[in-house]
Amino acid sequence: MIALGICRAEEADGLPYLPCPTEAGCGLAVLLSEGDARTRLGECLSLQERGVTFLPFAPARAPSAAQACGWLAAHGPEMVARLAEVAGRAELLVTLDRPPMPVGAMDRDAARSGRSWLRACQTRHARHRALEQSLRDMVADHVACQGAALSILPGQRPGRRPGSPVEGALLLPVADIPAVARALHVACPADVTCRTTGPWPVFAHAATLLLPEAA
Amino acid sequence: MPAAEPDALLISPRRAVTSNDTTLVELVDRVLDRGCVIEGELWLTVADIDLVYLGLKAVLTTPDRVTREQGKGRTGTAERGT
Repeated sequence: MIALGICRAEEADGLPYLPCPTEAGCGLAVLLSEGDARTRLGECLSLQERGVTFLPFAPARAPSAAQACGWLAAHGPEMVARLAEVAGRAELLVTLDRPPMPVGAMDRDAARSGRSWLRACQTRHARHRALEQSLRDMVADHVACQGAALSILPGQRPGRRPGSPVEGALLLPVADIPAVARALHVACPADVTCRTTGPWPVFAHAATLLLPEAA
Repeated sequence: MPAAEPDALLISPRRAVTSNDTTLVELVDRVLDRGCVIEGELWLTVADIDLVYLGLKAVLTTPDRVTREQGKGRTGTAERGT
């Protein structure tokens, strides 16, 4: 069995779960699944839609039930606090992108000399950083929800095209997500495309806490 | 919590999961595989000449995970445990 996420035992009623022996009073459970990663993603979305407060594992990286339970035994109180923080909240994923740079002399030269290649890299990175700053500014200036937290997600992964979009996960009260999405679209600079999706389970905000040890 | 899409500007996760739009497919792919990645870069420049560029991409995970992943692609490497 694969661990889907962590929730309070009373919220796991009616769901497949494994109660974990954590420190006295924690009362946590590991939600379980037998499906593949995509099925697990669907199950996480269903839990989110039902209003279950849980900390999901990234579906493709989820640990086994035993691993998760063993890890939880040592992190019970921490998880209880984390669950309280995310109760009633979900993630709004915001993706900002710019049209690709036109192919110019710099790009043609990039393959000819190391210096030109470095210059091209530097320009791409500068554009990426500027886009990231745009996202931070948009959130700072136009998101007034109490306790809103932005997490900029890893931008470039092997195999992805250079100058990839900037993506951020904004942790918000679920009810505020549509209004915040509209505000961000209005605030988006003219030369930038903005895409908002949500509400997602708190994958990004749970990942930093859970993955390094639990995976 | 309603699953309905309340707004044209807000794409629901259900729609993203079933979409063929490349951007949404990539997004779902990243949600599936969300992890902790550290990225860094270092430029050593003297008199406006870039001498050294160092790029870093590091994935935070356990040795157990690394050995399992490597085992799928090739054998005989990374036998170190925890």
